Amino acid sequence: MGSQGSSKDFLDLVKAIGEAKSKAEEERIVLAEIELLKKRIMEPDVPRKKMKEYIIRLVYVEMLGHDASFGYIYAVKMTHDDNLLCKKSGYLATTLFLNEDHDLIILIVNTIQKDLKSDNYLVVSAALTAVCKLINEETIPAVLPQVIDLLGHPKEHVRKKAVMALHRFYQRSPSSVSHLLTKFRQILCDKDPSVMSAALCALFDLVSSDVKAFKNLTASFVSILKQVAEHRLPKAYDYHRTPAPFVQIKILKILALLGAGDRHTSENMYSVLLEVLKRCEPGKGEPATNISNAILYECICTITAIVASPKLLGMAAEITSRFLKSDNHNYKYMGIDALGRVIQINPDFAEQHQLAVIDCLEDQDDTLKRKTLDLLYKMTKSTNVEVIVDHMISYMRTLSDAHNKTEIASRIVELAERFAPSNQWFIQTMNQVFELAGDLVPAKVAHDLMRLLAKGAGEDDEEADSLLRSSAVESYLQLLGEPKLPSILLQVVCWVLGEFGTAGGTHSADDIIGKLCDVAEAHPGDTVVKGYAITAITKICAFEIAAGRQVQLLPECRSFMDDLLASHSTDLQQRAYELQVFLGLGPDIVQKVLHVNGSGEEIEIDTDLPFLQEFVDSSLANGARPYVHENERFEMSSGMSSFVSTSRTQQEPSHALRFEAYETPTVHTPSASSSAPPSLLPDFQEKKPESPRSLRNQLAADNSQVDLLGPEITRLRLDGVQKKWGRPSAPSQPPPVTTSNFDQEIERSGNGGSGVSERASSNRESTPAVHVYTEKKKAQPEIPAEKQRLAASLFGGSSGKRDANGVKGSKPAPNRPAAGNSKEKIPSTAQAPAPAPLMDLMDMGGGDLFSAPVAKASYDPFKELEGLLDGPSTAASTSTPAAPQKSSSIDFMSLYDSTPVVSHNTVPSTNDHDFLSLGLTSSSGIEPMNRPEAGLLDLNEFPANSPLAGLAGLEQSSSSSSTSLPERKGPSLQDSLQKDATTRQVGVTPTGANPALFQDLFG
Amino acid sequence: MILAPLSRHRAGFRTTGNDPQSWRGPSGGSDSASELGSAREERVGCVEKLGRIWWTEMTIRFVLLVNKQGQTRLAQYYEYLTIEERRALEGEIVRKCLARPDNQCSFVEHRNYKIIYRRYASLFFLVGVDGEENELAILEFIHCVVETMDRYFGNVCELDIMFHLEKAHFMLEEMVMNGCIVEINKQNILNPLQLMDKTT
Repeated sequence: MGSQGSSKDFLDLVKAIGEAKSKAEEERIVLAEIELLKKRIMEPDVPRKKMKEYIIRLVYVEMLGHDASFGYIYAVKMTHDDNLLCKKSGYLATTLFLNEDHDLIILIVNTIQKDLKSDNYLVVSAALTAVCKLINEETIPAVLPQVIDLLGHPKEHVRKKAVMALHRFYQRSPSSVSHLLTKFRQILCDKDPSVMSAALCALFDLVSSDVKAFKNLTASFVSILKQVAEHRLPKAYDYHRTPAPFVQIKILKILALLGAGDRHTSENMYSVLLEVLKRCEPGKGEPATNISNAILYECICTITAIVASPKLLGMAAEITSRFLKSDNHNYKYMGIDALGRVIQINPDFAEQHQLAVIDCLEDQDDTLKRKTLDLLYKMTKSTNVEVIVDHMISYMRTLSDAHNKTEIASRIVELAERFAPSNQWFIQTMNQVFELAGDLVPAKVAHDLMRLLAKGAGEDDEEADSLLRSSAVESYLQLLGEPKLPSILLQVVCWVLGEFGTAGGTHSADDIIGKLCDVAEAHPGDTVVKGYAITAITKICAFEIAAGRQVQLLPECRSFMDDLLASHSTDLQQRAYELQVFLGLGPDIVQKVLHVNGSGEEIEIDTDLPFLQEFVDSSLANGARPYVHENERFEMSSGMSSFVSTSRTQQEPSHALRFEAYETPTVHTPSASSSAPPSLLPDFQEKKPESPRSLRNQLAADNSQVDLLGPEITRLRLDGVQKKWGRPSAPSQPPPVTTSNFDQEIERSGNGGSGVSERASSNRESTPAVHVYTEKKKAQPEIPAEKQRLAASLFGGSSGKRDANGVKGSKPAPNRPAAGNSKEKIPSTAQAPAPAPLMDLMDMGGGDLFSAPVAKASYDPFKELEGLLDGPSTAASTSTPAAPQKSSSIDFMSLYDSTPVVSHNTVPSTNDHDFLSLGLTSSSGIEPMNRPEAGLLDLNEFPANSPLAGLAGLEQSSSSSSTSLPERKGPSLQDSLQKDATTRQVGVTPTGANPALFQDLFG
Repeated sequence: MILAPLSRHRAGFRTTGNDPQSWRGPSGGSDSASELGSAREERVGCVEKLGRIWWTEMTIRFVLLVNKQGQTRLAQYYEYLTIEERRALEGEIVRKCLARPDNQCSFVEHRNYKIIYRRYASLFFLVGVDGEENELAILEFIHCVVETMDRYFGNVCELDIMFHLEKAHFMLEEMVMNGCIVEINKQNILNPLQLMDKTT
């Protein structure tokens, strides 16, 4: 084609742009062009043809990345032109320049309306094309009636575009065309194939938003697909001798939606799917074309989405194999994707292709590698998690952009949390993730890690825990040597050093404090890290003081503290003050307030504050108003509230929803607020352990048979381990204590896992020998040994995987009936392809399993009610002898009005801010919602733990220690109450009321 | 007058099935899990549904023609991006795709897009799609575009497209609408163009 009809100007411009050697040169040309156009385009009486050229030049300007908004209005004007080419160019430029919310759109609606009525069908179709791009929600009504009329236009070209316009309206605002659903069905029967195929686009969207409503169209789709596949459409619709491939693909997509989880509907598709598959197979000797492979791939997608017959599944598997074996990377890519789909239904299938998968994983091709990692992510289980996560981490190392990193990091975290073979490994993996992805990792992950360290393995193996901690300390101290660490990792490091830095005895307090000061100093702008650092220093000092050693702050630490004392952040200031106060306290008090290794401690809070009895009595005697319980004050009318009010003062597991608003802060700021910075300290120090512990209480209450739920809390979810890969008979180690989840493994155990427990080594050496994989090995003897090992660890490596894994995995098992897992077993025991693709799909979405504990921890209202119901009766039975004291203790609380809030202490902190604020006292301003609670707590707790109330505090702690054991087991409120009452009597009025005591004393 | 129905309409659309005040993104979830329980699940479900609609809304997000120096020769977006966004996106994509050797696969993941590209002499054709698209089919679609241009221009080259930018766009308009492939019948695609050529 020549370039007839274009002016020399235009030709020169195009030539200049085409010959530009560099981006800068192109830039210069375009800028000059903008100046030129600005002048020329505004001249009066520009001839239409010239104007069209200017508009195209504007398009160039925008295409090359510069603003051409000065000319938009001329493009809009151009749409009024009578000349078709000019009009179309005008519409084209407008659609390229404007988005649908641009101010100029309103000017164009009128033109569109006019053009839709035109006699020239090309004008109408040009207008419809513009409608698809320019009409927004509020202008839909302006053109909708005309567009609907055009569905009956004699020209198929117009009808097709009208359908697409309606499709666009549906995308923009489904309600605008909701009355037209039957129209879409009718159009499907249009005699013109291109109109029909346009209707498919619209129907695909409709079906995916509401599958049920369109089930009855299944037969129509099937028959259309059949006709297309049988080559009934005109030859013009072929592409490389494949009949209307895009129509076929669209219908296959729709069928996948319709048939998902619906056996009956699926059955109607079997024959047509077979037909399509058959027709796409390449004839003898000729290579398959891309397009027929594209259809084959789409068939696999459909087959794996619907409830397919074994025959279809077999064919899908066969095609997948062919893709994987191909040398063409595109086919390999499609094969990996298809494999991911097929193994969801038939996990056994993967084994045959392990080498192909590994080849893809090790390929230079980044796209292929990523796709393979996606696949591995889907088939991760506890036996291969280390290898897969290793690969992911080394892949992450090569990444630079945040988007990919975030994605990979979140996947690694998810896999590590679900399948971690040991805590050690988990910590190491997390460190790597933090190091590589830094602040792209959500804060929750860091808090889970801290919690894990605080809790240890969840077993009563102190030694292992301390080993874990000291190894964490060592690794972090080493890490601090590196130059640039992300904030979130530093937070973890500070916390760990504060808690456990000196615990092992290998590092002196000064050492650790010095390191912490360095950290804070190196990050002057990061207040969160600073907060963590100062709190950690406080803890270490406290431990030292408690151990009876003299603490002499290093000069740099002193100056750091002084800095913070004058900080603009009140949070940092508070922390610094706390440290200051601590330094002035004696060992006795400090020991009481901050225990060494306090993060694992369990704290009981006696909400009755019996040690203040005396004060209350005297206040009452002086005419103070008696305490009225909060709930009585609010006079909630429901029956429940009366239970609540009677039992609230007892120590209930009060993670109930509060229906009333929090009190105004003025109510509970009496005397206490003025006196004590140190009050905050006991608060954060004690609340921290509270969170996991009370969560555990909660869980224990939910499931009374289990007491220790360590792994539960640390979120190392091993019960989600599923068999996704490998055949059921593969050798494996059954953990002896397994329950339902590990049934599979037990089944398999017969086949001779030899009980080796060093998993890595045994894995790599023993498995390939035993495996089905040997068959493959014979076929390709030249496969390098390294690859074989990798294959074994990825695919077959299920032997020798017991140690920590099995033991820990067994723990949570009884808690959870494991809906996913029990389903999972069915496909693995029955050799035939599983008839339940839906279940498999759900299992694959690993997120569910991970989020389960949160849901679990969320409170159970009925349990709650039980507790409440228990409350009154026990109160009645136990409190009779102690009645006078009890009532007055309640009265006293009027001074502290917000006592029930203390109960928030025991709220299971399933969420991260709780944890954050606990570990941190409360991080500055991050959690405005949590702040008030923390404040209230401080006030309430102050008397209990402050040095002033030393004696009373002692008394309280003794009482709580006596109650703590039964309390933890769950609904033993009675016990604790009884003991509370007893202690109270002993402490305050050792007369009369307690015969048992007197027996002890006198008899 | 125009604004009133507009705002009502929007509000109606956004809030289908949930309360705008308490709406949270799917990521902000875990903090409120204990109190909101099932209510939250509902919301997340809704969000996912909305996401799904957006997902299916477009298969093709953009079509890009770039020469081997990385200069844009044609750009058609099926979702609105500002000029700066386009510029950045094109730069990133071109860097990524043009650096790949021929034997690697023709697909590249970038941000939320998957880019399928094919090279013809000095010209790269790049199509950005979203996740659930049949990559091979898109690859063939590119070829179909080239064949169509070939038929119209006769042995198409970079300059043909540069001199007749609008015509290349018209062809593409016939082939792709709302991000969906609607037509690959070359006669149907070229008919309007040829009629237009006749009249002028």
